[in-house]
Amino acid sequence: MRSAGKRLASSITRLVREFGETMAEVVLRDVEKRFGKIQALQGITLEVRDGEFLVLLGPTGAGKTTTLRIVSGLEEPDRGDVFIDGVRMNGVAPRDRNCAFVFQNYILYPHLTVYDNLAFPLRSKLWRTEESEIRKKVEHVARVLKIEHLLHRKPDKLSGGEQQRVALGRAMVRNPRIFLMDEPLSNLDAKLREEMRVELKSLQKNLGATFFFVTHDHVEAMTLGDRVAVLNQGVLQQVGTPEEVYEYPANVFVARFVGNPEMNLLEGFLEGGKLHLRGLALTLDLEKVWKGGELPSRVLVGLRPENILLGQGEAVGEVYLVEDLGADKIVRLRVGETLLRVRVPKEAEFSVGERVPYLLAYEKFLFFDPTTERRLG
Amino acid sequence: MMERVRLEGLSKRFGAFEAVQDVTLSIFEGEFVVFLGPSGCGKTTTLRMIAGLEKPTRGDIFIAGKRVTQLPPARRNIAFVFQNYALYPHMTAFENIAFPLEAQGVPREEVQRRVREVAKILGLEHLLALRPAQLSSGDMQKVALGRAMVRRPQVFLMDEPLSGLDAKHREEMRAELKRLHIEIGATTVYVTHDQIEAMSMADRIVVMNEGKIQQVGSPKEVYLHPENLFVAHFIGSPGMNFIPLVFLGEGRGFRLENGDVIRHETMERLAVRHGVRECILGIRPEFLSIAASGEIRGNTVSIEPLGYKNLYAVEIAPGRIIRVEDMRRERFSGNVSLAVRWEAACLFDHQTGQRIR
Repeated sequence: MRSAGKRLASSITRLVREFGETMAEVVLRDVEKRFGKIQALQGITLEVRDGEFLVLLGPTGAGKTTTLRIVSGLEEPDRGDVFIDGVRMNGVAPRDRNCAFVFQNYILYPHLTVYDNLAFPLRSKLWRTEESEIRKKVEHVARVLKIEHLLHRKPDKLSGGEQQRVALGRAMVRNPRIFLMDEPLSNLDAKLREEMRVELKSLQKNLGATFFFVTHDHVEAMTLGDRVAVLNQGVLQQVGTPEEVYEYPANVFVARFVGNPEMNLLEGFLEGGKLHLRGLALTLDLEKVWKGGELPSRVLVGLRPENILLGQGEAVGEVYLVEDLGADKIVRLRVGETLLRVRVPKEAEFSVGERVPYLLAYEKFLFFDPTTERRLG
Repeated sequence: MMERVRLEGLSKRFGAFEAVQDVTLSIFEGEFVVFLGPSGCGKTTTLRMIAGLEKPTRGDIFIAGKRVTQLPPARRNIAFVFQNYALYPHMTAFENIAFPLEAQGVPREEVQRRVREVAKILGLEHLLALRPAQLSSGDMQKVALGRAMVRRPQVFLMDEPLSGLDAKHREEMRAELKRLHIEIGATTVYVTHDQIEAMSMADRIVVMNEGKIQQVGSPKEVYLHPENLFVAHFIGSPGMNFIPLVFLGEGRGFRLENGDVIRHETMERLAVRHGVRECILGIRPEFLSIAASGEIRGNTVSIEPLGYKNLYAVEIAPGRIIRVEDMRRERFSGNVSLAVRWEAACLFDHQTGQRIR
């Protein structure tokens, strides 16, 4: 019994060493997962590249956490495959996948000091690390995370951000090449979240590790991700750089989910080379706003709040509301029954009830098919 | 302007913990006042004292000129809207809104009329027959608001009413609440920890920390002219950048942590007048820009795209990272220099954390 355990331990150690020296890329191919009647994931094919910060973004219930759990081995897919560095992982135990998992609720051992919390994974019988080696590793991680001065404190003497750093550190000590992170910042207050965002991003670059990060917060996704994968109702909607996802959303869902305030979506219909935006009582030459091929007779026109200019143009709207966000302002402009969201510079002064001319940046129009909700062109 | 609520030396102690310390404030008729601060700052306790749900340890509360400190909640003529809407699940939206009037014995026709009036303002007319379980969270919050409005109270008290909603609904409700306030002009005291809610909704913001008022002012005032480091950091996303400086004397400028010296006459005069040596330059990310020959040298650590602008993290001294906003699509990396828009810069006393002016 005992020697079998030893053999297993040493073979795993070897496995991990090998992984540690190679690439760290995760591939999901046609992954399906069902929980009872709920189809949690449908045909997920996704590649997380070596050294990449990939963010999986979606609303609650989209299947983000399930995806992450399948990569980590905490769940098995019903169909499809998971590869890490080209090796098929289906059926491989979580601890043999060389992934570190950082949860939303980082659970630190309350009776152990920060040092012992960090050392804990290394002291597991599986790894059989020498204490002197452990000390080296813990101190290295503490230095990287700037928590050296906290090593002798217990978790209840730490702030939320410090606890989060310790949780990260505990994931780092084993020197994994892949970090799976499930909303690790969501329990922190807004200020700390901003600071941790920068730290996390530079940490990832310094480690050169692969981060597969889950969040429902589109700002977090845009700012952290090298690429963002948007998931909704178990179906992957789009994978792209933050700019691609923001400027060229694949469909109406992505268009509305990414960006704050939401993209303006206007119903339009085409007739004799003209685009009619009924909500705004506006008719435009189609050739001015659309360079692509054939369009259906009905479309949805998408326009970001910063692509409407106030104070110029011929059309006029009424200021319904002004929201000061500090660095800029959002004006809700009423045109007939339509409310347009417009981003204006912080210096701009508008008052409620004022009539203001507005101009739509035609070159920024996006067209969606109202039936399929896909972007056209 | 008529004073609607007055807090005078209001304090609250829970055991050894001083939750609220000496809060004095006037709230005027039709004003939308937001109490803003991190959790534990005393904002909710203050609101609960105004409502009569908590007895102050010291101080007084006046509503419409009348001292109400000792009165029970029901006799203060206020309406409280909670975080969790506290609707009756077995009643329809109509019945929920009508409830306070029926409890007062208001005649049936008047109840009908007033509920419909409120429902119209809130856009709830088509939902009146539904029960809470059949409503979206945004509509439930509107029903809770309707129930508060129907009594025509002197003051609306709201405790993080939007925090149960997801981000998209929160944004919409924020705008609707603000618009509603413009239309009906009810005096409102609103509590939140979300600085964007405070900035976008308030006529005046009361920033609290550790039981004390830090600053009272319009969103613009607290954003552009924060009284101290706490307010400067708490307001804005990201908050104001803090750059430590050592004042070398008039005509000699300020020394940055990296040894560089920067010069600015007005700032130097401020430092002289205040007799300060160690100070902190406060500057918001949008008032810094990446320029060919700026005052502050740094090294970009990360670039965060927000779609319509990029947010840079720039290290200007070991471990000192500041944030810079840039509207250009072009990305800058490596060594950069930052230009300061001095007219928007603040100077703080390093010792006290107070703004020097």
